[in-house]
Amino acid sequence: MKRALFLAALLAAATPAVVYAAAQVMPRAAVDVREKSKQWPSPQGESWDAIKKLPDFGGVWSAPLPGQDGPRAPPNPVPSYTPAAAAKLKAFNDSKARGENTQTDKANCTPFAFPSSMGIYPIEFLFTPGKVTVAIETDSQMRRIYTDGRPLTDDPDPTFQGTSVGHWEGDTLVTETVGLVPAPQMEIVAGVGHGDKLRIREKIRLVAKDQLQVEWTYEDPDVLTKPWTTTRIYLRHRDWDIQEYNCAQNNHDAADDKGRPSMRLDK
Amino acid sequence: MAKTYAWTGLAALAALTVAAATPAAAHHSTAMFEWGNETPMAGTVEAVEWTQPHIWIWFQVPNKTGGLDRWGIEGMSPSYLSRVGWTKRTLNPGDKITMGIYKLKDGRNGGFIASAKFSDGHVVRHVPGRPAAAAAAAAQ
Repeated sequence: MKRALFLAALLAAATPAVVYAAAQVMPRAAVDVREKSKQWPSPQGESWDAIKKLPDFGGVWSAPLPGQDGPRAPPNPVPSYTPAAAAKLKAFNDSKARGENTQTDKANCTPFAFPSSMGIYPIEFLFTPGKVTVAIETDSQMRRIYTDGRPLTDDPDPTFQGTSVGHWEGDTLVTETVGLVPAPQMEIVAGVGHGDKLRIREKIRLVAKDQLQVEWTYEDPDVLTKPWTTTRIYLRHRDWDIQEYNCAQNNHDAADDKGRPSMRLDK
Repeated sequence: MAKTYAWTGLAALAALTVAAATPAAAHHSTAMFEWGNETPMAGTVEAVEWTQPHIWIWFQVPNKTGGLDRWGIEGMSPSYLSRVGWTKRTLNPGDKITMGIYKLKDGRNGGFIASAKFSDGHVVRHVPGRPAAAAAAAAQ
């Protein structure tokens, strides 16, 4: 019995050690990144003092949606589609006439991808040395924009918010994003999806008291024949907080595999 | 409430359709409801689920045979509602109200709440925008 207890104790004590030892071997990539980070020039926002010089993006920002009152940017231009994308869009619209694709996988709680994620519910900007973090209420997501001078990763893993780097040009935060999840999780416009080479350039700046303008320029040779720029105006709410949002908490509105709506009525 | 209701510089939700040249955004479509066509229904609030992505209200409605039918009523999200003056206690179990409902097109006992009229006569709007009748009156 004593021996069994001793062995159990030994095992319990050794387990963390084994895990720790394994961790020393496993995360070589992480160590390499840390080493590499010392080479990045950290040109902007490298210290808390530097952050004090940045424009005031404080508060919670919310964009009025179509149909709602409030200052808004002029209507977006019509995208110039490649023939393949135009055909896809037509097929998509035709399917809507049949009652299909009237809703997206968002109805099944797939998170919103960048930049749609920045639009349904409010966002908040957090400045820390070398990084701007966007706290996104929709699906309780985070977007990290590295401003420490690192280059964009060559071949990033696809993620819902993409991989972003940015820098300040005067009072404008200029960013570049690649590595977004494929359609249907992320689509430039519903029905057309996007290609592997999608790149989104973004400009964020204050344009009036408590008004922030965000410009997104989409470049995607598989879908667009020329870059397409959309603009959105956000209003500042100093007295708001970002709230929690978990879509799966109580979703009654699933879409079927043809994008047709349903509604679950069981209690 | 009227003031908060009139305020519309908010980020929202489900219930809004999106223009073709706007990047895709909306939790789900409103195509399954008689959207904009409000049917008044008298009943009693059975329960309120203050949850994302939509609040849910279980509503007991008298039927023609003298019994009660349970209606499942979808609402907006706490994200939206909390910023226009609604709270988790705006509607409470036991409240006898006349609910303005955008009914499901398929005929089942469900829909989307557009407004609630309480027994003392005051009305609380739920969806953004004005009720169709009020908008028509304002336009004249």
